[in-house]
Amino acid sequence: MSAFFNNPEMLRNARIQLRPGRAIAAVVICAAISLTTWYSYDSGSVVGSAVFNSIAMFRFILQLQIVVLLIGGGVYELLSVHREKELNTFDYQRVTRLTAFELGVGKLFGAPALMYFIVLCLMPIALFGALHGLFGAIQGHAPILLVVEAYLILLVGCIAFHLLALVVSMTLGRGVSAIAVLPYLVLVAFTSVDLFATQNSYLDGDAATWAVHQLNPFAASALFETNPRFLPLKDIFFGVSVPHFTVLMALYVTLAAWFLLAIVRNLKRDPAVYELYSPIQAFGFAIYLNALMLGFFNWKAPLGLPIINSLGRITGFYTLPPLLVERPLLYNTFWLFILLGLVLLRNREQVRRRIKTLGESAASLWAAFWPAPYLVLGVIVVGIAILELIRTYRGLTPDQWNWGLAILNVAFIALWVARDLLYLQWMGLRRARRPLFAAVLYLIVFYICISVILGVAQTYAHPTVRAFSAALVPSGGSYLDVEGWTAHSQLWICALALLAAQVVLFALLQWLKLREFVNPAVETAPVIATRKPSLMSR
Amino acid sequence: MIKLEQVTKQYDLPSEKGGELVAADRLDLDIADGELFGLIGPNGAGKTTTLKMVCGLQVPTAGRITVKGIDVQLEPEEAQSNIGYLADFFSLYDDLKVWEYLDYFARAYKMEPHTIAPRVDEVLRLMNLETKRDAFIHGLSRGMKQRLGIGRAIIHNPPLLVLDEPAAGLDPKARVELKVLLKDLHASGKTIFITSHILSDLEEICTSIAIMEKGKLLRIGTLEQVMREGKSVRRYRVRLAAPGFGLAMWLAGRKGVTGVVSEPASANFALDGGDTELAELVKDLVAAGAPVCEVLEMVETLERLYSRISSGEVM
Repeated sequence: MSAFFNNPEMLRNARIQLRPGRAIAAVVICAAISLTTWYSYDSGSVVGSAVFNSIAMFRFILQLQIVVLLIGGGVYELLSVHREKELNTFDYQRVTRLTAFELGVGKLFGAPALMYFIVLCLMPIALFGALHGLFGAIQGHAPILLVVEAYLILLVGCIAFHLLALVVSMTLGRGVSAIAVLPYLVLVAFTSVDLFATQNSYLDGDAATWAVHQLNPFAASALFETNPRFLPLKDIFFGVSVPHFTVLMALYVTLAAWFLLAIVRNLKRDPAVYELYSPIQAFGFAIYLNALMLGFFNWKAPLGLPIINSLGRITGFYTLPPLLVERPLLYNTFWLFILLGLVLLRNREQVRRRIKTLGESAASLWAAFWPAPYLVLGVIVVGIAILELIRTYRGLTPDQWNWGLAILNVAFIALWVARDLLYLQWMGLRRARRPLFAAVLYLIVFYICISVILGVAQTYAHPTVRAFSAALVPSGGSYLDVEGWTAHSQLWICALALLAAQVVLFALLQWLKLREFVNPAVETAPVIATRKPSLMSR
Repeated sequence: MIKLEQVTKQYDLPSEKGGELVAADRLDLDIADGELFGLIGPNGAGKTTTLKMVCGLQVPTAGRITVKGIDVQLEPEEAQSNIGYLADFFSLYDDLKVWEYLDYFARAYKMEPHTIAPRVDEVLRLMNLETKRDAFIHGLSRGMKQRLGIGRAIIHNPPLLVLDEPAAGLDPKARVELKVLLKDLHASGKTIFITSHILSDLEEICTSIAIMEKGKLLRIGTLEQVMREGKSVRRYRVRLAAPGFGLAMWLAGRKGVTGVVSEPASANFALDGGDTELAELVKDLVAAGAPVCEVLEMVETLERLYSRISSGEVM
């Protein structure tokens, strides 16, 4: 424990951020907020019983603590490594004897030191509200446990988010830290949505697509907000009901471990050869994310359109055909493996080093298919899992299900991922300032333009053209049903072959690029005098 | 102490130029313990890249680097414990106090806790920063910051110091102080690997040098070796008591004389040979009626040698 508090990086941050003047200012501000909050909830300006007001006050302070630590701390983390690189001080940290783990932990808890201090300063009023409100609210229950759960969610959740911010900070190029704040805020907002509760509001039954509640640390506040009787929220994982607190803890700890792994692998490395995960690790991470997606999918829910009676009330849901269950899951898999592929992409320096180390084999035709094998394998594994889960949880009636079509869907997704990532890998090896950025931009433009053209030309209405549009963009395949597949199966197999040809084309282009590395056009130095014997040999 | 074996580092040139830039081209270099080794070369020669690779901050495209026999790529932290590093464009933590800055790095280098405070005081004394102990870094002058940077580099008492342009931006007084400091550190047994643009400074303090250009080492050796090597042809200056004699023309027609530069009532030239050949030339010159009043051997400076080598004279 003393080693933890003696971490030099943590100590440095604490020294800078918690100078007496700044610390006193934080204490004074927190005291003012605490007193104002207490006064406003206690004076009757907020209508409700004393117990209700105390709980409301606790919730308000808890939310404030979450905002401070999750968003304020996250912004500090986003700047932590990136700012050091901009100041040219990061190299000095890299040449010390601190391991990447020690440096990472120092930054994780050191960078938001002031935020942690503010959270601590707000604890007295929060605990006052919690104890007063909760002890009065329920006799015989264990309210302290609920408060402990809330703070565990706050702490462990923020650590997981901070680690993600630290990974982002580590990988940022110069001058882009401000841009990175926006996706972080979007992620916080996105994980604030309680999908389970929102969709459950139609009916008391389990009608939601996703059987998981709010995922970010604001869930700590939701423990008190959405559940006035303090009954534990439940999520469903592969059909098993699990307390939401347990789910959150498991998610935070495992995700934190994945992010920490990326930091430990790279923080002290030369940024030119960062490799967030080894191929096997990245593959494992993608499979883990897919398992979460499949696990929290509400397999038992009908998922179709709502059945509305003559009074305009929802009385139930139509059952969604199993093929329409498979497709959105496969599209989610598509995005998860695109993420995996981005992690696996090699930059020019990495390719150059591989060729210097491994020789010609690193520029072979087989090598030019990188990173397609991992992606195709991953999509096939997840695709099989999806089909098996559909078979287990759904009735497969012949008019709604066809194994050939189901497998075709998996094959299309596998080849789409492979094609797009091979394109990005090829483009990423071009000699340019930010080749990958440009490649991603072109890909987005391609998707938008093709989708607009296909949509306006109503190609999806024509079965033949629709099949070939699927060779360009995934949306083409989303209109294929059992009837269409039975009638035009050969066309669809041709479209698949066309997609496979694109995969081969981009692999060939990458191979040509790799050959340039084998025989580079090198700027030559002037002819020089013969090198003299080394000093050691004197 | 430092060993580079076929170390190569390639970068991409900007896209409009095409091709790759070799910042370090199959470098082989051994630096023995106790050397004060200077690496000189123009901007973009690959000096900083080489130093960063030695410190494990950049990975070579190919080749191997060891520090005290430890492979920098395989055991970076172990190798780095032997290195004190100062970058060319360096920055300090302005919000820290001077002693806190040194304390931070002493802890980061995992020094024994009980040795940290005395060592911080010792380094402050050595760097002549005792009076600034409790001052914030943002209040220090450029020279003081440079001294503090060197203090940070030696806080863990490493056997090797890698200093990239430590004299850059310093005023003449601070440069003199820096030279004295480096001499003291060298005298205390440290190996120093240094780059600088100020060649006269390096000439004064270095025991060995290497001249680098476009990723290649043009010369390596002790200062004397390199200078002697550059002077395979000795250069002289002859001054006459009065103008009128066609000195340059006479010298140009003489066997063994090259590179004649004519000046008013004098000329300088290169002579192939030693003292005997020079004595012969002077005797003949006087016999030809030239009013010779002074003959000087032109001293080769590191600056002059570097300028000749880097301009492509050595080919």
